[in-house]
Amino acid sequence: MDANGRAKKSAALVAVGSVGWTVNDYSILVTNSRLEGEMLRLKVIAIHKGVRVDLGDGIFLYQNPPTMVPDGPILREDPESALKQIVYETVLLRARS
Amino acid sequence: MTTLTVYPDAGSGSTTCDGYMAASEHQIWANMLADSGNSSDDNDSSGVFCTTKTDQDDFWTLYRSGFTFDTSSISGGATIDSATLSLYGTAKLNELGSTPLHVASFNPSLNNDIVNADFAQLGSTTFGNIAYAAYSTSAYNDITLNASGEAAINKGGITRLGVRLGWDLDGGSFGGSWDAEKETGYSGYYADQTGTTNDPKLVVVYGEGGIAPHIHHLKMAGGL
Repeated sequence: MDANGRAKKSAALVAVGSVGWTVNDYSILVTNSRLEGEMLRLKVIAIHKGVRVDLGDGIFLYQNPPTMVPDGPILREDPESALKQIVYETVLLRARS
Repeated sequence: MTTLTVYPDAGSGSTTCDGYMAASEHQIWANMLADSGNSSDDNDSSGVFCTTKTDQDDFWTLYRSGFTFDTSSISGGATIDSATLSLYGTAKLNELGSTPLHVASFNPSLNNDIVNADFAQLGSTTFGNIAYAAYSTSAYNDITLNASGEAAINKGGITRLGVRLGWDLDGGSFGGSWDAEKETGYSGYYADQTGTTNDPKLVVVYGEGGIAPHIHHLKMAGGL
């Protein structure tokens, strides 16, 4: 996939816009999303059991992000689910560090 | 601190890639380690990351894998706070005994194509590892890179990482219990599981560099 293809994937996730959700005691809010070159750039806030997770400046950058999620034996295009999954995983990683 | 997550490109010929390299020959362990490699693939959606197999009376295959990541968005003056390689596991075997999966340096001939000769282009210094028991076959395995691994993050360029068995990294005599037609190793998803939330990824937490202000003379009005 070339830079244009990667940028299209990032753009598909930017189109999800600001979104908030709760998963496994984490409340996560994407307050801003935009393209930065071919990358997806998000501003993220996360709360775990009433305590704000230290995410540094809260800027999450994704190079060549996924837009598909497993759905049983097949894969389906679902930018919002993919966005929530990759952000949640990043929050978990930051929370452990 | 900003958090950058990068995924390799699927296939070959783009900017980055991932895939395996293997030596598949009937030979003793020492020769297997020194082999130049005779097969590779960077189009597998899932498969072996690193493994060794035996045949009737010797070793038959040794697999290693390589991953390249576009970290060119990190400026040269940035400070790396942490780096984590995450591999989504699908299977593991320890029929020959258990040995960790190690991350090491990788110096392929190209950043966007895996070739047979890249088998011999992995370093012998560990950048981090995950134990057999800890390796998940249904989730991401997060391997925190040590200082050597952090130093391998290519600010402004392409970061290249390899994966090999602990016995392979050690480079000495075989550390397992040899048995005929058995296997020890790790498998998972490559980036050719195209654009999915199971792709290999590298997460780098970094701060942009800058010149800290120095106060040479401070005069306070009214005293002191």
